[in-house]
Order: sequence, then C-alpha cells, then structure tokens
Amino acid sequence: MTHRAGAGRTLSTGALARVEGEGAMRVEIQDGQLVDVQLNIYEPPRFFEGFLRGRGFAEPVDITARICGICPVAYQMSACAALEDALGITVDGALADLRTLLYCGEWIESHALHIHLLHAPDFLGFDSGIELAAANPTVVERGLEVKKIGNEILEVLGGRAIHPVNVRLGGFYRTPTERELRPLRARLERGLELSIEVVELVAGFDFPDQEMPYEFVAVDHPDSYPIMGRRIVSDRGLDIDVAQFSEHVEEHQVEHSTALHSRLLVRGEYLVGPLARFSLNRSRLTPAALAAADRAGLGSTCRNPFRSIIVRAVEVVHAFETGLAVIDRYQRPPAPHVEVTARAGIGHGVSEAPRGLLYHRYEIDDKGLIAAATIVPPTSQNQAAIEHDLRHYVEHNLDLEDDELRQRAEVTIRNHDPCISCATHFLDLTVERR
Amino acid sequence: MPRPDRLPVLAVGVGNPMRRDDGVGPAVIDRLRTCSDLPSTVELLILDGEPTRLIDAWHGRERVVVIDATQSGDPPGTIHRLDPAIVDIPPGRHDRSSHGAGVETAIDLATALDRLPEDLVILGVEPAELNLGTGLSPSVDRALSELVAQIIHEVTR
Repeated sequence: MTHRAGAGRTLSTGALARVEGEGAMRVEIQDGQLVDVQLNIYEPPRFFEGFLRGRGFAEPVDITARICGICPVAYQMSACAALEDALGITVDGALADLRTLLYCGEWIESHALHIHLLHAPDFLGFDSGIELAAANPTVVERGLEVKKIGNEILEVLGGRAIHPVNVRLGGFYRTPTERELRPLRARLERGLELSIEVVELVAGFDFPDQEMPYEFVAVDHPDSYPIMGRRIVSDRGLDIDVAQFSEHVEEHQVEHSTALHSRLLVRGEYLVGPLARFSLNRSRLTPAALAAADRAGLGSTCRNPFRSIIVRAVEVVHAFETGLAVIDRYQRPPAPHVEVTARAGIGHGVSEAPRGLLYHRYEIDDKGLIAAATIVPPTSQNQAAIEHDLRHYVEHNLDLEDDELRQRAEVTIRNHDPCISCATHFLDLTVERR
Repeated sequence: MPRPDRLPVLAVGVGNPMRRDDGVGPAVIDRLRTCSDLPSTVELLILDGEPTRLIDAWHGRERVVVIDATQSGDPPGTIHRLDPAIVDIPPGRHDRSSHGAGVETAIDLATALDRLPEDLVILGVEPAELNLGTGLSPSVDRALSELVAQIIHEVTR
C-alpha cells in the first residue's frame, strides 16, 4: 500500500491492467503541480508498413488482418477500401452488405469484451473481469454470450474466428447461400435482446461528472451510422474526402513515444471512436439502438469519456439490428467478388474499427507490387486526447492517495479502449511526485 | 458436458505468427495437419489466445491440449508440460490484456465461471525471439518434432 507523500516522491506500478495491448503512461507531479503526462506506445503498424513494401497488391488484406486479433476485420476492410480505390473498382450491393455484417460481428465481439471484462469492473468495484465473473457470473456469462454471437457472424462469413480468411479484394472467396445465413437470424435476435439488457445494466452505473472539449472525428455515410464510407467529418466543420486525410491530419513523432501522434493541422488533437461516432450520428442509429440510447439518458452528444461504456453498449444493439436487416434483404450475389486486375495507382481507405477511424493508404507500382503503405490506427489518433483526459483528471484530483490516483488514471485510459496489439507493446503506469 | 457436435479432443495452438516464436503454437498445429498419426477424434485449432475464444473452444471437450509460448528462463526450445492448477502469473499482469496473459486469464476466467475442462494440459515452449517478424528461431523450429510427438502422446494417452 502506498500513500501520497510530499515533495520528492516517486512511485510506479506494474502493468496497466485491462487495456487491450501494452504501453506506458507516465505522470509527473512537482510541488503539488502536475508537470507532465506522457503516453508511450510501441506501434506494430509501423513495422507492417515496411513489411508490406514489395509484396503483391492483394496481400495487405491478409497481412494487415494479423496486426490485431481483436479487430482483424477493420484492418481488412480499410485495406480493401484503399486498394479498391487504387484499382478503380467499387464493391456494392450484397457484397457490401456482407462486409457490413462481418464488421458488425467484430463490433459486437470487441465491445462486449471491453464492456464486460475490461470496463465494467471499474464501475462495479472489481480489480478485474475475473473478480467480476466470480462475484457476478450472470453478468459476465451474458456478456460472453453476446460476444460469442458476434464471433458466430465472423465464423459464418469470415471462415474462422481470428484473421478471417474468406475476405479478399473485391469481396469474398465464397459468399454464403441464403440458407446458410438463415440460422444466424435467430442468434442475432437473441443477441439483440441480450444487448438491450446490457445497455440497461451499464446505464445504471455511477459516472464521474466530466465533460471534455473533444473535436469528434468519424467516417461519414450519407444514410447510416458509419462503419465504412468515403468521407470524414468532425463536429467542428471538417468535411473531407478520404483522399484528403493526410492533407488535414498530421502524424508527428513525440519524444517520449515510438508511436506517431496525430493531430488536425488547423486545430490540434481530436477524438475518434464510439463517442465521436455517436455524437455525430445519433439520429442514424437503428430504432432499437436509438430507443436504448433514449432510455439510457444519452443526449444528442456524449462528451463524458466514462459514459463511453453506454455508447459501446448502444452500438452493440445497433450492430445486431443492422445485421438482422442485412440477413433479411440478403440475396446471394451472382459472383463472390468483383474482378480485380493490377494497375499502378494510389488509394485511400477508411473504416470505423471498434476503437475508431482506421485509415490505410497504398501505392501500387506498375508491376502490381506495394510501393508504399501508410496505416493510421485509431489508438494513435487518440493518444493526444487520452493524455489530455489524464492531465485533466490528475489536475483536478492531485489530493488523492497515489493508489487511488493511479487506479483512476487507469480508468481514464481504459475509457478509450486503447488497443494493444495495434498500438502498443507494453503498458506501465508511473506516477512521479517531486 | 460433452457436446455431440464437437470432436472430443482439442489441440489448440495459441500465438501470433507475426511475433516470431510466439507463433510456435500455430506452427505446430500446421505441422500436425499433415501428420498421419493424428487420431480422427482430434480437432486442431489455431487461436490468438483471447481468453473468451479459448473458453468457447474448450466447451464440450473431454480433453484439451493447449500449445503456447511460455517464458521461464529455460533455454529456447525447452518444452514444459504445465498443469493448469499451477499456471500462475505475477500480480499486476492479471487480465491486463487479451494478448498479454491469454491462456492464464482464460484458465482463471474459466475457473471463475466453472468452465474449465476436466482434462486440460498446457505445453509451453520457451521462445528465443518475440519481436515483430515471421519465422521461428532455429532452436524453437528444432523443437517442433519433439512437440508433435508430445501432442500425439497427450491426445492418445
């Protein structure tokens, strides 16, 4: 047990628990004043950008799926979008619908995992999802059932649970028959029912009163809550084509991190993820999700990062309902994929990973090989905003005991569900008091 | 409780092949797929170690063998046979990540939910290299034959 002490005090913790990935966070306090907050993450996407150079133009779809075990579909879909842009092909109709359904499976799995095993313990007074499971198995079992139904979508469409092998440039290697999709319908109905209960559960948690001045950035789709799309918007007037991403977003190296931080060139830090998607698109939620949001007391926007757990739960409802709509209108397309032919070009693609906007850019040379790859994952875009949250929280709670301050700081980070395998290698939290 | 829709025995390789020797589990499963000694009662599976997927994969099996990279400080390529009752992780690492402490967290979570298979064996292989990249290190690659033999022994005993 450590206690807060006067000047000249240093303490550090072991790994930051319950964040999907690894990284380091350092908080420095001098003479009772917050001096510095640093988030330091190690980023596999940088490695993958190099790994992809010189490979065949269709390979990034499989290779980038291996960046993250939690969101392989997001990597595949952003890669497909960027490469198809470079090749000048469009995937629409039932094939686009199946991509949406697959993506819904990933949102369900990822959000259900974060809500139940990583985030809910913070609000229910447990140190881990395992403690929560031991004390309240019903809550965790329900969460795992929701997650499993998401996984079943991935298995039916993706071929297997991790790193779906059925996705390819232009569509799929094989599309399911109507008959093969039908059993999923009852499962999604069940998931919808359970997910509405989950919203009710998390809406009842106690939340700190904290509103943050984020600039929300998300993919925009003209008539639906965004999963895939070609435009990127913000609540402060950003409205660009995906091809303009690098003109508006600057990635810069900060001294304390091997990862790149992103900022909007004009206005600085911004936030991607559930809070941004929700606040920019609340009215585009499916009816059951909208009703659940109303009942949970979510207003037109949500700027309280702690309440992101409710937004994730609402997005799970949305994903089930969206999936059901896809199954209901599905007619097996004549071909499982659009024909793809190599050609030189540059393409940009974006999609909404569970954690937020994921941007890919590829340059294909005249031999059909990848000449350059850029991958900007959501967690690196959110790093500056997470540091801002942490700074805000610590500044307002400098009188807390070190243990409690550290625990609350961890929650502040967990609010944004930073992903480990795509953004970080080791997450240690150090609080230094001088 | 056995499930009629599932093969009674599961051998599951856990790891990330993009992290060099962390891919030993997946690599040995790939090798087993071409192995004629493997009984038809055995299902082979590759997972990344995310605990709830492991627990789902265990469900309804009579026997489960998990193959994962495990660090104990022994020479690279050393194969450990671990009893789940003694698999433990240092305080602070617990449940921290779906990638960092996958198998251990799966065991603890399954225990909390009373979903641990009755017959669960973990074969851990000491890695030499866990950096980003593909391909096993020579010492771990050399251990694959012995590992295949041990898995065959475990699934047929």
